[in-house]
This record gives sequence, structure tokens and C-alpha cells, in this order.
Amino acid sequence: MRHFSTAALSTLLLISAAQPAQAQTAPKKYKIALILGTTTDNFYTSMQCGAVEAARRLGDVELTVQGAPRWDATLQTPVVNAVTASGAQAIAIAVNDGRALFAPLKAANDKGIKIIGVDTRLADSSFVVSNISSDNRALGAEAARTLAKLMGEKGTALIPPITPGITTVADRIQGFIDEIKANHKNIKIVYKGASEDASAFSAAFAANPDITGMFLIANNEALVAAGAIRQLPEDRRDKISVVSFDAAPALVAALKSNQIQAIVAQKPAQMGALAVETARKALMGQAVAKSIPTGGVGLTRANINQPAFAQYVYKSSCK
Amino acid sequence: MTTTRPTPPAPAKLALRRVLASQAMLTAGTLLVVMALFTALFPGKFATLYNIQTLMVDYSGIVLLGVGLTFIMTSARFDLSVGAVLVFSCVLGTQAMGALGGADGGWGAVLIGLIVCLGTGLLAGLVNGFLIVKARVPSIIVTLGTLSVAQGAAYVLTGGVDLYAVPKVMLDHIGQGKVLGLPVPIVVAALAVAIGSFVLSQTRFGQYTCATGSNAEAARRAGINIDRVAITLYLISGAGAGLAGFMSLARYGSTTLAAHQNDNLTALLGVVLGGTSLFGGTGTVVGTAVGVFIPGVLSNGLVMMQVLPYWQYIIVGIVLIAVVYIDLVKRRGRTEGG
Repeated sequence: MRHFSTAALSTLLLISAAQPAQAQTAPKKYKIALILGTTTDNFYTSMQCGAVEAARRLGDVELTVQGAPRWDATLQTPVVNAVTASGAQAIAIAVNDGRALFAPLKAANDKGIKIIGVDTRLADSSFVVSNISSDNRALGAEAARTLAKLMGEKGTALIPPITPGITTVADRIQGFIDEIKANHKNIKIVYKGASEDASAFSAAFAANPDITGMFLIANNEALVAAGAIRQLPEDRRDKISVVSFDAAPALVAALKSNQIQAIVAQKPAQMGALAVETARKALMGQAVAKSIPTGGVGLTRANINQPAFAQYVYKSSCK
Repeated sequence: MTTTRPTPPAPAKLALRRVLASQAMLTAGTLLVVMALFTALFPGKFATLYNIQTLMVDYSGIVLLGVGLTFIMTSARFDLSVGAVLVFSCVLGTQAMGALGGADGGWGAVLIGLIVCLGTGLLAGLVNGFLIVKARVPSIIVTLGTLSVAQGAAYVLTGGVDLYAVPKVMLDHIGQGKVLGLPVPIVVAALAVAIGSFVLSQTRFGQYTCATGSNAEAARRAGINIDRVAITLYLISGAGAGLAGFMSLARYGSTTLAAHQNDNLTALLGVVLGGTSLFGGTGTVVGTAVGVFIPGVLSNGLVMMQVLPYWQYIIVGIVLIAVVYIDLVKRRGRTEGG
């Protein structure tokens, strides 16, 4: 009686049959793997779209896209190890933890695989051929300027705590704080006690009755914050301006309905394309820049419907 | 005055051995067939020293959790807290080593870190065991509560930010080190499996564990102190979580607060796939070690197939249901036959 063996094997065979056969006589192609920070986030879907488009345009790149369903270094490590074993020549990766992923990527590098950091980076990037990411301090500063303008250059701004282990978040917060302290001295910053829990936002509002601005790092936080703000009395509610990162569809909808007031969008599609192009150059033996910063775009209700800005809304799929 | 335990009749003993053997054998057979399939699909890629070794390292922590859980489940109890206790032990261990030099700490700091991690696990195990045995709260509720406490404590102590004060000697020689050519995490897991397997199958304590899971009241009447057995079982499970925490620090150099959330379920899955009955009474540590690698191998192979590993969850779910169903059928057959 081997029912479960049969069930497992037949399912595997179905998956196998669904994969297109690889032509053995195909011309030489550069095998590049893109490992996303998580496979369930619009930002990384957009990055994937950009990478796929670049691979198609270049013609001689065999791109595979992998990732884990959650932002978790211990889930990302086995993916890196499997990709390394499967013969990739270059790996572009958004590491889930700048230190925890050092060992598996070093092992990949020791096998001759070119490593490119995309979006996030290893704390020790000595063997990484290039890091492609938003200039997060600049993004934080841009968010600070946008929020300061919305707040009328006075009042109290609330910042949530740092998510563990993510290098980009710390840089954005530092950029934000530095900009406020340098050029918007009348704004006070509240930086502890907040969290992603809606009730904690409510507690922060109760403890700081003069909050008139919020700087949020991730889109789920912005939606939770928007919900918490709706609970406030109308006179307080109308005084709070929210600036957040990342133009996820749900957040853009919140922007259009004025639940939040501005979004600093990154350019994940550009990052994905640059990752493929940079990996290909490295494999061709060409020199590549050690660091490639990508910019950000401020999205507001005033400009979100213009094509030049609408293109930066993140995608839910590549079709 | 010692009461002589009646020797189980030969036919029943043979039947029990056959059940255990067939369950673990089916799982091992499945694992081998799946591995053979991936080997054929990806020649020179799947079945390589590098891939098999890193795969074993990747799941060595789950094996450590699985060893403890095998004991717990063989006694017809649950421990849902091991993943959270793992993280909590990482936090306390890192803080201890941070106070002794952090990244520049020496082997003395590493030893203290190990003691603190194990101590944390043992303390959690003692709390679990005490509440279950003395307060008579069901194990699933106690360990769910401990999970929450450990998780909360980890966040309170760190402020939600990962700690990185792990000695470099620990990262280099334990996390990435080798003994006789074998990665240290694999050696540690193998030793845990060997010791656990011996204890569960070859010692009086192991027999008491099986007896407790099979029929607690009969075991009590037979003179077994089932309360002491239960507390010891949770100490074993806690030690497994603490040791897994120490090894996680050695591998990742970080408390990885956001991680390990699925470790408990993954380990539980490995235990069940490995032939330990959800209803208690039978279990093998070696079976658990084999069972843990089924989701691991599937995930690894699916990445090579360039498929996002979501299919793994479907396949593993199907296999799990099939395994438990077969267990039920066998139990029903035995009961009716008896």
C-alpha cells in the first residue's frame, strides 16, 4: 500500500510535464537567477517584471526567478543553496538579512557565481560585484521634505520602529531624521512606542495629541495607520498627513481616496532590469559599477493620474 | 518490592515491530524515490555533495526540534512552543555573549552562550512540564501559552530589532565549521538523533514514554511515575529547542526574530511523516529525521525545476493526510482484530 508515494510522485510528474522542454542545442545563454525578497509583494513582482522584460530584450539571458513566500532569512537560505546547486552563473538577490545571508552567498561566490545585491545588501559586500538599490537615505530625506510641506513646517511627526535586520529601513529613517533636524527644526519627532498594531497607533495618538504627521515604511503599516486615523475625532483626523513608501495598488487606492497624502515610490522594475544587465556584463567580463543607486518618485493626488507618474505604480502580475 | 511487568506476547510484539518498520520504511522509501526522481531530472545538480550537504545543514535545526517532539508526541502530548523558545534562547544567548565580547568573544563566551541557550530551553521545558503535570492544564494550551510568552519576551528584550553580537569563532568554526569533513550542524543533528533514538528505543525511560502514550492509566497502574516522565519529556523538548537556537545563532549570526515561525509546524510534520502516531504510543527518532527531509527535498528540487516552491505545501499536505489516514486504518484493524 503506497498511496502517498503514488500521490506525491504523480503530482511531481504533473509539475514536470508542465515545464517546457529545454532545447539542448540552444545557443549559449547567460544563466541568471533573481531571488526576490519575498514572492508575495507587489514591489518584487514589479522587479520581476522589469527583469523578465530586460532578459527578453537582451535575448541571450536565461532568467529564473525564485523566492520564499515570506521575508525570512531562514527560508531564503535554502533557496540560495538550491539555486547555487542548480548551476546559475550569476545570482541577483534581495537579501532578507544583511548578515545571515553572508555565508550561503559566500559559498555561491566561492563556486564562481557572480553575486549582485538588489534592493537590499549584505553588510559585508566585499565579494559582491554590484549593489543596486534605492538611495534610501535620499528617499528618507525626500519623504521628510514632502511631509514637512504637508505639515506646514510645524507639529509632531510619528515614526514606527525599525523592522529587524533590514538595512534599507534603517537608512530611510536616518535620512528622514537628518533632513528634519537640518532643515525643518520646528517639527518634533516621536520615534518610540509605535508599532504596526492598529491599537498601538491609537495609543500613540492618545499619548501625543499634537501628532500632525506620520512617516511610514511599509504599505501594510500605511493601511493600518489609515484605519487608526479614521477612528480619531474629525478635528484631529483632518490635521494628520501621512507619507509612506511604495506604490502598491492598495496604497495607491488609499492615496486617491485621500486616506494618505503622499507616496514615495521606488523603481523596482528598473532595479530588476539593471540586475539582469549588470549580471550579464559581469559574466561577459566587463567592468560594472560597485554601487548603482536608483531614485524615487513622489506620488500625490495631483500627479498620480499622469502617465509619467502612473507608470511607477507597482504591478500585481507581469501579464 | 518490584512488580514484574508482563512480557508482551510474541505475536503482538512482532506486529508492533512490523508496524513501526513499515511506517518508517514507507517514509524512507518515499524520500528515496523522490530523491531518485530529482536526480534523474537534474543530473549533476541535485545529487551532488554540495547540494545534499547544504540541504542537510538547512534542515539540521528542524531535526533538533523534531527529536524532542518525537518524545513528546510518543507520549500523546503536544509542544507548540519549540519555535518560539528557539528564538527566545537566541535572544538570551546573544545578550550573554554580547556581554562577553560580542563578535570578538572567544570560546569562553561561546560556551556561556551554549549554556544560556540550553538553560533557556530547559527552563521553558520545566515550566511546560510543571503546568501540564501539576496544574493539569492540557498540553496544547500550556505550550500555546508558552509560545506566546517566549515570543513576546524575545521582542520585549530586543525592542524588535535583531541582535548580532555572535562571536566570530562561533560563526566560523561551528556554523561553517567541519568535523572529519562533515559540517558541524550535521554532526550535531546526527548525534542528537543517535542519542534520542537510543533512549527512546533501548532504555526503560523510552519504554515508559511509549507506555504513557499508549495508555496512561494502565501505565500508572503498572507503577510508572507518569508525571515524572512527562516533566522529563518537556525538558528534553526544551533542550532540543535551546540547542537549535544555539545552532541557529552559529549559522546566521543573528537572532533572526522574524524567522523560525514555521519551524514548529515543519518539525511536527517531519515527526508525523516519520511514523510517530498523533495518538501516542509509537514513534521513532530515526523516522523523524527521515520525515523532516521530505519537505526539504521537495523544496530543493522544486527550486531546481524553476517552480516557486508553493507546490511543496500541496504535496506535503497530501502526504501528511495519507500518512495519518493509514495510521488510522491500521489502528482500526488492530482494535477490531484484538
